Amino acid sequence: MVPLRYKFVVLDVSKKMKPANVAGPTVRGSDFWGREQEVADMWRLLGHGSVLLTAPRRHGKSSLMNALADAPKEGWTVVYIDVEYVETSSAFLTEITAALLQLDSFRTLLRKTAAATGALIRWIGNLKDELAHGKHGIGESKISLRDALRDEASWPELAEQLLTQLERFEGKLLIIVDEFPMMVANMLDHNEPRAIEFLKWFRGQRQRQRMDNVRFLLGGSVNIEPRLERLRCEALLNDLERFRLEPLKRPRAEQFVKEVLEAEDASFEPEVPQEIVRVADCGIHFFLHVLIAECLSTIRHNHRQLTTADIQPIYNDRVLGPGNRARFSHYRSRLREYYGTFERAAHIILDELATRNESSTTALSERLRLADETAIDLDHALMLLESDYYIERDGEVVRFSSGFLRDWWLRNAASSRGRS
Amino acid sequence: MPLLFNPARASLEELEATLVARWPLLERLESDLLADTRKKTRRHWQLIGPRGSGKSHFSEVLARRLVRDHGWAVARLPEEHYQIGSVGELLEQIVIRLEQSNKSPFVGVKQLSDLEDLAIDRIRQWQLVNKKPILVILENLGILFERQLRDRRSQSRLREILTRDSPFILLGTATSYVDATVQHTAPFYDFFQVLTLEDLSSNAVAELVEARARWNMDEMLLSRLETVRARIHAVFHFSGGNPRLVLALYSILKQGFTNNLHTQLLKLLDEVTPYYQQRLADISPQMGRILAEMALASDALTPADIARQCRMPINHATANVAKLVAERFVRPIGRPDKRRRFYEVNDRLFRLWMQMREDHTARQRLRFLSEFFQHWYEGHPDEIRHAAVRVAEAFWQDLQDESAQRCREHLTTLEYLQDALPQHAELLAIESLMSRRPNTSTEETEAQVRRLRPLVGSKNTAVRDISALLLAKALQDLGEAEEAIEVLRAADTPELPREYRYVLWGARLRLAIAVSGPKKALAEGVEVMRQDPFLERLKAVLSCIAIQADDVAHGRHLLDEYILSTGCAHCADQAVRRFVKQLLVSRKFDDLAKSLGLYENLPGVSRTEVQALRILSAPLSRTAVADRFMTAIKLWTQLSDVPKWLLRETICVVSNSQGNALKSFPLIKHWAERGENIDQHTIYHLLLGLLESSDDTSPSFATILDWITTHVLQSELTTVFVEGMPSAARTLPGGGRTILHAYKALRDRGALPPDLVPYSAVLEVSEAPDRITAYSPELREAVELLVGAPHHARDKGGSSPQTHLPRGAITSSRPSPQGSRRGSRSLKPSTA
Repeated sequence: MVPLRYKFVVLDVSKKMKPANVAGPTVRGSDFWGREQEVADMWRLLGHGSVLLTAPRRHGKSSLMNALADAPKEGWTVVYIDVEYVETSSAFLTEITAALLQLDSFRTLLRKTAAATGALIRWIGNLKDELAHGKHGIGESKISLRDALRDEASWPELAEQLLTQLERFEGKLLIIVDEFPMMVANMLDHNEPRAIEFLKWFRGQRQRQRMDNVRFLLGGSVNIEPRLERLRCEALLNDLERFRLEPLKRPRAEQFVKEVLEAEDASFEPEVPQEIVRVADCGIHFFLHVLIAECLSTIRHNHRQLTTADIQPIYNDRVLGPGNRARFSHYRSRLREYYGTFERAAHIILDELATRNESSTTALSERLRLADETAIDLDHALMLLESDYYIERDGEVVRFSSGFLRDWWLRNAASSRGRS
Repeated sequence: MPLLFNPARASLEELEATLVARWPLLERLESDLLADTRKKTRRHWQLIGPRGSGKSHFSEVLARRLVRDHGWAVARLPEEHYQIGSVGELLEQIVIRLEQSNKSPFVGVKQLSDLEDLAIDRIRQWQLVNKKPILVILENLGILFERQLRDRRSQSRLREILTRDSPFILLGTATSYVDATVQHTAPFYDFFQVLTLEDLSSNAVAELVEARARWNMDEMLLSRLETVRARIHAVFHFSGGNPRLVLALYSILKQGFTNNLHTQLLKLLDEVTPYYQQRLADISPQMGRILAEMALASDALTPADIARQCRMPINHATANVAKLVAERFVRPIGRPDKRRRFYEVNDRLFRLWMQMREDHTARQRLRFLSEFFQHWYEGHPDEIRHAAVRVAEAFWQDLQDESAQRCREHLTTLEYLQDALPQHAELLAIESLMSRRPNTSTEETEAQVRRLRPLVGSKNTAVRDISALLLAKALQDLGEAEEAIEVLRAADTPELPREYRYVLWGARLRLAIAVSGPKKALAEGVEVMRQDPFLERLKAVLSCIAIQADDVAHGRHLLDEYILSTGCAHCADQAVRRFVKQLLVSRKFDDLAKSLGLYENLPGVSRTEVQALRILSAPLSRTAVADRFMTAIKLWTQLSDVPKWLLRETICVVSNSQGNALKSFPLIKHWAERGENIDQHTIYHLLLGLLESSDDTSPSFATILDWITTHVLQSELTTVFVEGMPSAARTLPGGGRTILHAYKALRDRGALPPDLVPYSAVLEVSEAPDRITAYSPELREAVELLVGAPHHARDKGGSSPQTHLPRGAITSSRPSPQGSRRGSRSLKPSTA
């Protein structure tokens, strides 16, 4: 623990740590609140196989993945890497290897096989000190690995041998690869055939019978599947289990808001947490954080207590208003960027749901027919919207996944507002 | 200089003492940073505020407190990022600052990716050894992401470093939301905890000014805090609550009002130029285009107005206005017509700056700068008038010192002050200048003319117009009425503001009386009113001219029309006062009696004054005019209570009245004691009275000559003797010899020069009469006149305007209403 002198700012260390209002970055520790069930569900799912976790940005994917890394289930060892900036297969291999080298158990494993020959040993041979004492930083390990991996074409062999070594890893190993879809997108941009080759290879490794002790959790906010579909490669990820992040139920959401407000030392009326959840009409941490942040900003600026009467105006004027328009504009722009021929239909569906709160698939089908979108496969359009967290389906009934998103759409994106 | 205030060079004590309104935010952030050291969540921060909002000040206070009070290490990177071209180099700079080294430990590293990995390892190692939390302050985050780290890979890599187990906390500053943090697909989308530095409230502005004054121990400013507070609203208005601009305006507050506030303001606008240029560099050209349009507009604009004026689609205009609102350049001002949203420029000083640069017409610039003065003096019109008087005094002083540039600046300042007054102040500049016009000799007036001429040629219309009026006045004083009219004619251009045209024509018509006679002046005035209906206000002037043209009925008609048409009761009252007094001056006593009903109801007119006028307007046969005046002023027990206009007229009438002239001496003495000017005509008449009635051995003779010696300039007296006295030789008892005697007495007192011709010549001739032939014919005539002129009786009535000295004496060059008048510089016929 870093010793600190708290001369002017007194921290009450005896107080139970409550979640701070962190709207944006990954939260960890006490700030990661209310996801116990999802953590448990995720471990359960990982027991069956590797998992693909995609959700819009700021919906809590990275926080969940960090929670797994920070407190691994008994018997599991977790390695976490963020590969958003990785552009080649060899760089990906370097990242994983450097991260694994930080593990004592992995270094022990390698030391045991150091006498053996092979490309892998040759590759990490100049890391003898690292293997012996683990004294290098991860950065230095990566440099050594990069230096030794001059031949870009040799990565499959090295990776193959690395994974073979991992078969002998003691206990279960979870390798969390955050921003995996973004890395794939980088690779596709960089060299499409090689990227597809990598994806094929990677699926093959995941399906190795003998590597039952190693799991991958691939997370990211970019839905890479439509792009793979266009390349007719969607099958390259279909071995992965899918995990959906659910919003907090209302009572939990209210408790969450209450604890955040307390952690922020805000003065508020007792009914404020319920009002915030009622107004936001959703249990998504991020949306709640945004509304709370605007509430805190208002009362701190005016040096007063937060009242229930404040919430709705703050929501209307500040959260849904111009100040935050850009923050959520991707809900509109991603239709144009990723939905291709489904863009107009998706827009019509969302407009319809925004104005009617909910609708039936029959009514939506009729709505598309009236808009001359008869060729569109409604089920497919709904599936895309659901996987991107726009909507939720309950049998025949379709609605926005959150009241917050519906309100934002109605105010900022709906065609009835004169926008396209 | 406040604009160059560099927080990095200031002591923490100064920084803390002068930080206002930001403490809650700063303490909150400090508390969060400390709390985060106990948590796994790594929050990084972005401090947003326009340039000058105090980001550096804020972050400097935070950093130093963290170091001093909590044992943190702080690495503040230079604002310009010259040595940063990649993530690796960014980390390298952090290492250099943490290790307080002069050179990088990574000199041999060639690959940027290697540099990243080595540098981050080294920072981690540093932290392990030093056991200190690290805060990295990175100014201009937006520029870093837009220039140095603009590629996705760099941003992703930096985010990856910051996200998990970052060895340091990053505090970035930016002037507005950075694209790289608001674009949904960008790696740093919604990554930072955003803190916004709001503009200061009016109270906070006051607090800042006071804090700065206290820190600077500015006793002068602190001692007049009440006055300063009265200016705070203006400081708030112009700064828009931006601390840097508050400090810039503080320099003006600090100096108080000086005669060159205008110059100070222009200097300030020059000083803020780099600041505004940088702010404009922060926005897109299209936003800049809109901003310029809004700054130059006289009123708030709607997006539709902007779209039309900038020739762009309305959705572009709306989007850019929204961005300008986000940048705090403009603000919505509600919906005055309940329908459309109007926007205006937030930072008024910026508006002035832009207007000064972009608006090419001087008049327009004047309008904009007047806004500054309006707000500076808001609620304090008297201060404006006082300020105008001080500027006018400075103008005359600088004119005397031949500082043309400063004179121009003073005239411009006067124009701004004039525009700053809400109403009835269109003539503030010219009136202030006229009121402070110094008493000068003929030579000095000639010098004035010489110095004013270049100003009349100025390209600045404000300078040109006022100077023309001043020049005409000076020429009029020199008796150069025709040239004065020429000056005014040349100044009567289409650009001349209406109010000035009115003043110009008022002066021109008065000059025309002398040049063409009152009848022609009246006709000219009627004609110009017909051409320009705005000049109908000249009816008040023309009503007086009509009296001089012996057409009192026309004058009364013009006066009645003026009273009916003017919306200003004060102006109507003034017109009546002038009309009545003109009747008195023109000795239209019957008509005066008819107009007394108008006069006696005027506000401020005392019963004594009305009674005095009744005495003066009584049927003429009852008593002599001079006696009437003397009777009238005796209604007041103290001479000092007699209204100035009545005293002046009494001196004129009594000093012109045969046998009564000496009675005017106590009045003249009192006139001088009031600080009023004694002109040549008064002296002339006083001397005539003295020479007519007094024995040169009597005590009064010596007393009066002594008084003249001490109160009249030699040059003035010389003019009287050269131009006036020779012609009086025929009428005085004793003829020229009496005058010669007076000359000798005054010469001996040092009041006149010993070689003054023709008197010195006469003295020679009187000793040797044959010498007269030695002189030129003109001088010989003068000598003959003085030596042997026949005696003629003077006018018995004493009130004729056509007596000895050209008519007017005092009345010929009437003092201005403010009392600082110049007498005629020659004894030529009076001009008005």
